[in-house]
Amino acid sequence: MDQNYIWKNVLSTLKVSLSQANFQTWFSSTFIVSLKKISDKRQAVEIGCSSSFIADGIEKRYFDLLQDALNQTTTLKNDITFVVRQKVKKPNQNEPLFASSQIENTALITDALKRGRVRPGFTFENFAVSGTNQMAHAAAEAVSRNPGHAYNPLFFYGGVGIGKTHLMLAIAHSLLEKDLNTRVAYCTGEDFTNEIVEAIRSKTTQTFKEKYRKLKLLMVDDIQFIAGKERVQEEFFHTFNTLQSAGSQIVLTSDRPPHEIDKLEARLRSRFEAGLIVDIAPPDFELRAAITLIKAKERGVELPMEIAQAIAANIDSPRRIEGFLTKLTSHLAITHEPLTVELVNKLLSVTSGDTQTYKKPVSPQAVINAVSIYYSLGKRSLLGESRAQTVALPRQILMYILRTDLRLPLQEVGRLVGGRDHTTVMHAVDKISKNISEKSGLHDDILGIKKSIS
Amino acid sequence: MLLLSMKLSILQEDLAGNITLASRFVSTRAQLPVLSNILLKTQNGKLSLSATNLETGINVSTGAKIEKEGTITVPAKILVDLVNHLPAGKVSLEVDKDQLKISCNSISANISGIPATEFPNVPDLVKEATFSLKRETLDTLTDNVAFSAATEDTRPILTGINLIVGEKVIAVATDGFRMSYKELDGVNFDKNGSKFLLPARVVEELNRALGAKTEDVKVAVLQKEGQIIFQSENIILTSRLIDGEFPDYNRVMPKAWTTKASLGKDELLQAVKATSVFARESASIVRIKFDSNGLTLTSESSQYGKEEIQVEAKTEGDEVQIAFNYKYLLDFLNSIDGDSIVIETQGPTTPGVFQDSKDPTYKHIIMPVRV
Repeated sequence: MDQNYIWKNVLSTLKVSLSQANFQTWFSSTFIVSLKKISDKRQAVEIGCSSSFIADGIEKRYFDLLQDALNQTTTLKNDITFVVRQKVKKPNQNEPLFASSQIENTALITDALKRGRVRPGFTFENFAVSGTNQMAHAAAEAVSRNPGHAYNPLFFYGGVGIGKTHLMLAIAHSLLEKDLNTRVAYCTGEDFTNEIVEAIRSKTTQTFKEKYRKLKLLMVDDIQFIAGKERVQEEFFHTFNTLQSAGSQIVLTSDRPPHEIDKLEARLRSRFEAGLIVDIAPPDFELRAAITLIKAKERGVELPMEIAQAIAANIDSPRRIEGFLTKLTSHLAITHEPLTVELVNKLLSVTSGDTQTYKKPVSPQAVINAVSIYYSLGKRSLLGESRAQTVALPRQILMYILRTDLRLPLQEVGRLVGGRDHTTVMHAVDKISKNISEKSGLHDDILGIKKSIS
Repeated sequence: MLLLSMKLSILQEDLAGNITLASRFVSTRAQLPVLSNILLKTQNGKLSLSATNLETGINVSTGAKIEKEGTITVPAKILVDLVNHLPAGKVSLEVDKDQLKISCNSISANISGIPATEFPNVPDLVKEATFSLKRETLDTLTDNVAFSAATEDTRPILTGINLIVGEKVIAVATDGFRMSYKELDGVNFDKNGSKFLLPARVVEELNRALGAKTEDVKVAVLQKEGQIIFQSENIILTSRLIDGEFPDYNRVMPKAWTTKASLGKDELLQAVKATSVFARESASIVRIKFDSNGLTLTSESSQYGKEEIQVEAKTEGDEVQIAFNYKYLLDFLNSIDGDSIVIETQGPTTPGVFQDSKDPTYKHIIMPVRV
């Protein structure tokens, strides 16, 4: 039974036994905070009262009456406790003071971001978190709360487009939000290199040093680029030491962990390794769906969940998701077609056509081999008659890949997969394309198979 | 313990003051008759008076010569009026059944009451103080912060003062159009990192109730019961804490300025009062122009006319004209002790910061009126 419903019934029972004045005074602002079943015949009820005077008053005067009414309504024995809780209305963020200054401060922060060469728009709020990047997100948040002390340096590594830079910039954003005058700077390993070369050429190494050594937060993207460049590494080493001893925060990203960066000086490597090193794995299906939703919202499009999932299931890199959304929004703007799953699927098939992962034509036999190896199934049973789930699913996946990636005709696919009817193939392809957006494991399996072919 | 046969004598001066104080906490529109009453109770050789509206409650006690212990509740309004009309000197109170008999010299009155068992429980003791407040701090809280809180009940969260205890103790109040921010000293707090919302009206009432008393105030915060209790000598004031998330004051606090002016408080106060004559007739708007000559205040009413006043000021930055609600300006100017102020602004659509130039711990922020 619904809490509100129970409480309404209890109140109407109480109304009968109490005078109007008593009822209004004591019970008008009460409600059920929580209901918890203890056993088949017992439950614990928490009742919210607007002040402890009321809680105290009800408990002293009407406890028995209330318990009877509750027992009667719920046909259970009720253990009643009282808590002081007010039904909270959200503070109105449209009050002039809050509304205007938010815009104003955003503008100011954008200015401050520009000074530090930080691209705006990357905040913790619009960063989606799941298992693959949870650790990195927590570390970044800890650093933004306590820069220079929590983890110094903070080192993110991982593949392209998985949010290393986003997290790094979010730290800067959050620090500037607290204090606009925090000195932050963002550069890539290459920028850093170029600046040193330029400084040496124009004999302005002093200005260079002053610029970097007075920062509160230094962020260097793709630090691996400085490897093998002796003078640059030396300068970076000194900058690093100065900043660290001054209690400033350093955040670095790279495509691989420090010990795998070739030609990185040992003293730099050991310093990087002294901080916290976090790897960010490529996003899983759920995270990609979340990213799709966030990015779409930034473009002012409210995507239905099923469309976000269809996109997430078919595109694995967040950057390409962004690219696809650009395409989708411009397509919608030009054609004025309604946003449907079919439309998205149509566009997706074109997209995946553009970015075929296969460089050379793949033979159907190679695909059959790959599937049979992936699932450790003999080719005979894979192409045979058995309809057991363990065989049928790999077989359907096989047909799906043959049909969608190799673009074989239905009948040809049927012939290859143990002489099956073309309608069987159609059913298999339909089923897999539907499930691929719902079951993340399936998508990962198919990706794994495709990888083993190419 | 049902002792209805109270009998005591007390000085009229003591009784009248306490009854008037207690009666301020009686609910004005009580549906339940007992809530418009004051509870009288003998306790440890004192007469203790309690009143509550179920949100706030007060207990105040005073010495009396007690002959018989007892309790009763009587209607506050009748009691106040009656006691205030008694001559100074000894008054005797006696409970007989459900009636309170008040007599002195030639006067004798009977008030019909309700037995004390009907009366809600009002705390009359701070068992364990969470922190203590200096008397001056309470003054500051009232003068600098409380007036910025909203008064209507439609925005319950904004009727509170947000006390944030961290490295510093910060008090913030806002009604959505203006905000007061004050770093407090004179708060003796052990537990860092706690924050709570206490009703601004309670702070004002407490300050008024304490009057000229100079003793520190003991404060108990009962987070679980959602209650805060203040005790100073014989006055114990209880209030509920407000539930909910207070808006983030940091977001509102302007982080830079483009125009800045320093000027005398009294000069501006005079000018605002003068311009209010016409401003009252036109949505309370006073326009302030900042330029190198100082400030120019103008107000205009289509029906009655207009007015312009020059105020000498040292200005920096851009020239700008901003419209403010004159009431907010007056409230700020009346809230400070110093004789000069600083105004910082970023233009006619963003909040302006008003400060007492001698008190960096107090910031008042006013949202301009869009015209």
